[in-house]
Amino acid sequence: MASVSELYDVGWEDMRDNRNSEQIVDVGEELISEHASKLGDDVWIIYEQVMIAALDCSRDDLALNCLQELKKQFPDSHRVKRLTGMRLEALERYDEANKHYDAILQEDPTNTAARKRKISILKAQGKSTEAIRELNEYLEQFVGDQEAWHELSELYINEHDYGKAAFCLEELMMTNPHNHLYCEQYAEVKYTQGGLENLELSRKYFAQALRLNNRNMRALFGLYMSASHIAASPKVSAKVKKDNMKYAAWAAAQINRAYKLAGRGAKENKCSVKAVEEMLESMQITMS
Amino acid sequence: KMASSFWKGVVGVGLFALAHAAFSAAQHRSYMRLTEKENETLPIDIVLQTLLAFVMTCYGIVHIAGEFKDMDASSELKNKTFDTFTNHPSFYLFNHRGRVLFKSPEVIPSERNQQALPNPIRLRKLEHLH
Amino acid sequence: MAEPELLLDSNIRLWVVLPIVFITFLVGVIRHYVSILLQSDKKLTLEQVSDSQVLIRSRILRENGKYIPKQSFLMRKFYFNNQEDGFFKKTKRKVVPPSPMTDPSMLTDMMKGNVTNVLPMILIGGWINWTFSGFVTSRYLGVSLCSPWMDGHYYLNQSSWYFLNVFGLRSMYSLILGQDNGADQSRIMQEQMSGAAMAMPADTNKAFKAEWEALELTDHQWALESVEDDLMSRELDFDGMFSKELPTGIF
Repeated sequence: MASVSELYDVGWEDMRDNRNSEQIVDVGEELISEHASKLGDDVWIIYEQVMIAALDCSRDDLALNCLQELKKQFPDSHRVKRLTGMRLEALERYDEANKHYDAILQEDPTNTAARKRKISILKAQGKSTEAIRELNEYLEQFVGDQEAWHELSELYINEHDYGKAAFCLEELMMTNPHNHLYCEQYAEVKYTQGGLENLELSRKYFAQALRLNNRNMRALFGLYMSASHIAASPKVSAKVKKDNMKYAAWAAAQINRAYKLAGRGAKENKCSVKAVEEMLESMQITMS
Repeated sequence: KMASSFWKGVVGVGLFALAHAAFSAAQHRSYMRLTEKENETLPIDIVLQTLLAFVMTCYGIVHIAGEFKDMDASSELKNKTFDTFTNHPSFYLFNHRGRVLFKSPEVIPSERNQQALPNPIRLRKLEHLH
Repeated sequence: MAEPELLLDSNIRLWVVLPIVFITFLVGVIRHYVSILLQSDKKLTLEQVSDSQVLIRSRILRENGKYIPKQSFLMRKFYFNNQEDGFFKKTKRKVVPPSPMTDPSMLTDMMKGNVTNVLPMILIGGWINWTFSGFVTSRYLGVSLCSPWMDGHYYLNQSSWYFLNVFGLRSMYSLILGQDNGADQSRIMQEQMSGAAMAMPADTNKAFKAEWEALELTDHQWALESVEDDLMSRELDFDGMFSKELPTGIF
């Protein structure tokens, strides 16, 4: 893939990971039409990526082009067959797409990608209860699929089923204990769930996310909010109250420090620091 | 880029020097055998050359082997964003706003004047915001 | 030297030692590619894949269970291990002992293994033995345990040199051919890998039993017990937080 980044001043991986389809189509179209011969075997991966990006941008002509190239090269690959199904999905011919995926699964019942596509179709049709049920069935068999766990947690969050979403995120935290984003999301879910116990957990996981990545501002705010929320609760004992006051004060101090750092050199620095203090104050009031 | 070819050169020179030292040592051995001075050790310059070339090669290889990774396991994730992280390629949906945003140019003839610009798609997308 | 020493002709080095190294190496490379050609993709059944993933999940629970709250840990442990219908208790897989007679694909696999590994060894070894017969190829010093009369000198003949090469060049292959090269892009494209299907132990029930025991012994030691105090022991490190290249999505 070296040739791609040499030709263009962008990281291919970056574009793909952020689903930056417009850019991929821009770059990929030129890449395929003018430099295809130079890419060697990498070209097939690029065809696949560009095709998916083209579906995103509803550029069916480009997608069909890529698909035909791939079909020529790999006539009976399941992966290409799946892409055919995805194109049908983009054209909203869901039944035909489903038939494609069923055919793949008949030949190879362990093909996870096709099953995930079938779940996506349910999601696209707005049948989110069915999608959740199917995804649960899928996860029973492929319990190690992290992407599916995350998808399921998102589906549950959309359904406001925070307890189950938290379960999925716990699963992800176990497989990636170093990922601050999972910790942060888990803490957010717990915070949303509410209740003293959940808030305690949420504070802990905000702190953990912050420990894994000091620059996670969202987790810092979360830590402040959860700690001050607990401190404001009338039911807690004096010691817990004191501790949480301490945590909240520390978080507030760190937020202030971050804003001072950000405003270094700017003229209205004093104003903005004051604004931050007011903001923190107001967050506290709304909570109690 | 420059640095990489420099270090490759260093490794090349180092390997060559190592091979040369080995060859010298073999030659020295055979010479010693011919003159029947079996107990003689290797001359100091060959030993030095071997050691130096070895160190040089090692140093060069460390530089061309690739980027070092941070020892801290979480540091790689520090710059990941929520966008990357909630992106699930296997569960992509295609019935989203992309269909409207990227409608092919023929559908909207009134905007033909934009065609001269390098990237009509992007500009049209911005116009929707106005 | 107490006894007369064998003096080796330096031509032997050029015409025997080096060719043997060369031949062994090239045969190894050819064998690598032939084995790729003959390779057949192992088809895994759905059950095998899901069983292996369950085992992985349970292992992760044991190792990283400390990162989730106690309640959640116990819930998962109960799911796997509870007395009446824990997963590891109730799940019994039918074990089919693999037998080469009933499974033709296994027979061909075995034959392929023989063709790529044993056959060249015998053929090339025999051929080298025959072509370079009667040479003492080299001498090396070693600690002699049982033959003090040899004065710590060993002499190698051509076939021992060949075997030394066969086993000694293994690391060279992995260096040159790569750990799993040959499996290039186009092959990956042909057939998608089916999840993280690791090598399954032959007997799933035994693996489940072992995992059950290991999990039974695992206790929950929460890693986040004192996370706040840990965090507050020093100021946060905001280095580079406001540099331009940082993606904004972090906020």
